[in-house]
Amino acid sequence: MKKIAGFLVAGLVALTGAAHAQNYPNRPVTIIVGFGQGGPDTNARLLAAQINAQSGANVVVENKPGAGSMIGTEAVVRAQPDGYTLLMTSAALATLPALQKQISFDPLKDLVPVSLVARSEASFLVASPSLPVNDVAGLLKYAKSNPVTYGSSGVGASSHLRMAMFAAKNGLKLIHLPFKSTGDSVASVMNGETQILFVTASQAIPIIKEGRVKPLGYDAEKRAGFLPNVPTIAEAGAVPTGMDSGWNGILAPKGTPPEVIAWLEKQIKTAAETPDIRAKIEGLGLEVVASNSAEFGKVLAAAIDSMGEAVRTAGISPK
Amino acid sequence: MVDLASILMGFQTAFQPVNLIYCFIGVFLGTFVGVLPGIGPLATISMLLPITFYLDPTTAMVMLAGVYYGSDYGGSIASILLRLPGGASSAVTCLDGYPMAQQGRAGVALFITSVGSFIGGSFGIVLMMCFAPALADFTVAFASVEYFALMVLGLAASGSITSGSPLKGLAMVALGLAVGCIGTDVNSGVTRFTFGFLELFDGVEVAVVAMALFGISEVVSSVGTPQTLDLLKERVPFRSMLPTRDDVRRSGGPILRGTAIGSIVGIMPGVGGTVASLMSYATEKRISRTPERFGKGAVEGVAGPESANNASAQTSFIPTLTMGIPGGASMALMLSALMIHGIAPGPGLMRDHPDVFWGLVASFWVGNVMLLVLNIPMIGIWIKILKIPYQHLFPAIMVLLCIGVYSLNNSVFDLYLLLALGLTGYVIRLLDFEPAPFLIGFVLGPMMEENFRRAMLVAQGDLGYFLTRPYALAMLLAAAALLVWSIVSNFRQRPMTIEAILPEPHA
Repeated sequence: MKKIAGFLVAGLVALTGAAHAQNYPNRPVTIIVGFGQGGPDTNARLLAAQINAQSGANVVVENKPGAGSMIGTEAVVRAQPDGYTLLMTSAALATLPALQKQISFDPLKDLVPVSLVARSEASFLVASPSLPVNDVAGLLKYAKSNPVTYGSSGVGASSHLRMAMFAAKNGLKLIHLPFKSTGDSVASVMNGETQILFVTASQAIPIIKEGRVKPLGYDAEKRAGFLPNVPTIAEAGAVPTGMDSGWNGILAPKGTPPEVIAWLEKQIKTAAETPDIRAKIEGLGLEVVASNSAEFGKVLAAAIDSMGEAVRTAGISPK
Repeated sequence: MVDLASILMGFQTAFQPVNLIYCFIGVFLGTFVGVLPGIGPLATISMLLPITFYLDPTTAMVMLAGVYYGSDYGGSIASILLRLPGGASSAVTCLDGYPMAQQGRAGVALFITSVGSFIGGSFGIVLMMCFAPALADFTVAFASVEYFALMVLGLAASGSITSGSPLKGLAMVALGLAVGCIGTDVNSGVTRFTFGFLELFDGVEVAVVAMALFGISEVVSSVGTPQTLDLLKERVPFRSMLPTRDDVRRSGGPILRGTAIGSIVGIMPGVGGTVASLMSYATEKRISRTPERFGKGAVEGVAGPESANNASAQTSFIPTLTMGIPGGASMALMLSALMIHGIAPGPGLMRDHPDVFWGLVASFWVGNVMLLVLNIPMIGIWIKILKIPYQHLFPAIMVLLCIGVYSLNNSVFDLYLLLALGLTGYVIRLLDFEPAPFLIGFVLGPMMEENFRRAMLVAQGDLGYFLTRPYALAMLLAAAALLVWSIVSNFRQRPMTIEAILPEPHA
């Protein structure tokens, strides 16, 4: 008797589950952003507004910042896998396994990738105007016999890891000065307190154009269309970092029904490729890349490997 | 230097009806969220951001900026009436504003606050209009060593803030420093005093500290007191809200000095309004001939910090707009509002988009006039809050505090912190310690440490580096002079104090 009842219950649960997936979404969907306001949060809000407009769904964005996005990610990992709680995060997710001792989840096993949303542009290696070098070759020579400092937006941030990889691959010893924000690190390279910095294109271009910093090289395979006279790091005679540029993407808790994932994939793609939304995301210095779940999974796995290597190269011990 | 044509063009933009409407919406919302504890400009700007996608970029910025500086007007209202700082930068206003309210002079405090804020804000705007291009270089001229020296100066000046025992004040500064150390150390990435709580990895929010130490402790200690302030049972005539001639005479100097302090602090990205108001309060108390009145309802202690706070809110737009360097999260968010419209913030903004820059700066002044007009008639309404019986008022305050704190990070953990720090605040109050020195240690300590260690990394451990930086050296010498002065003046008062301390002979 008990067994039959058990089967019945299981069957009912399975049925209601399927029914839920069919008329998904029938209540508000929450996208949790593991960061404070700005950055991935702005993308999530742009996307949510467009998905609501095009599908009649009710997608809301909730910020749960803290511990380098670990708090927000944990909340999603623990949420019901019913498609009503999603995660918007950045490449910081890929650094968590290497950076955080207290991590309680595996990004590849406990989350299902839904779709990439955007990629950030590649970074420029820039130098303070007071540094007596004008190109990458000059920097390599100068740094062999002089102390050179570089800024970042924090220990373990991509600006830190990128420079650590650059130093390791080119046999340089550099002094790291972490700041609280990208803005502070940019101000510091402008006034010469720090001497070099990796900074993403949209932030680098205005200060390069005004002569506030000297562009040394572009950390990408091809030159940037908007600043064609700045060589790539390889062209300038040094080893590039080989690091991928950052990204923003949406994931769901493990066990989320495939129909729900498929629905979301489609909605995100349509929303992100709406010309208006695309223009706004590009304005923020990002490139729209709505992928599917499988592609995002590959990007995430590769990023976890390369970020792990970068964290070890930078000599950061997990906290 | 003064570009009259551009300023005129700016006013033309600011006076367009659509910009006037959005400016009003911005400052009105700003005042409102400023009054509500915890819900600050950052959350509001973030919620408004999607609306701005469909506005002209100048109009969008006019509204968002209005929220930003409007919240500084609103922040002082609850500080004065209920000892409930709307944000960290208005916590200093509690020190004398709340005693004034208890003496039935809330109207005067609010009036002086509005006028001081207006003067501070206006001066900041004039500075921007006339010298923004020249100040652009100044905003990034400071390195860690100068920031460190400024914090030392701030700490030395703040030594005067305690009104009770200096030793107890020092103990509170130390406690504040310790709580300020909680979280991830910027220089090494190592977490300190987090006890394994992920929620402490980013440290304790300053707004939680301010609301717990001032707000919660006040509510808890007032539970046993009479139902309402008797002073307000009868009708309050408008005349009693106007400052007396004596109030005006006492406020003039503090407003001017606060404006100067706030303007300078605001130009330095990342320092913030809390440091500006702390420094202004400390300065006023130090140069006052009657420092013993401070903490007991001295109008100077309201006028100075509020002017400083608002001047700094205005001049903090200088690094953001002229260099693209945001001083904080709210500023960074406003920059992304520009970027979404395809306008790249940075040193070229003033030249490439003069309409946005000058329109925005002119709208600041329009917004400040609106705030003044909005706030003065509101004083009478705000004061009526004090007529609400405590048994209705206190639960409402607690609910608002909790909602506000929760909204900071959508984190229940922050509520537990509020409770723990609130109880700490109540206990230290019972033991006759003061919360202000705690706040000083909490705000200045971590900034001082971060910048000192970074400066030492740059100098490779050579303390002689300080001698090679003229601005830093000047600030450190000023701090040393302040310390010497306070020791000397302490000695002068000594004969009297010793007699007071000596035990009474037993009869």
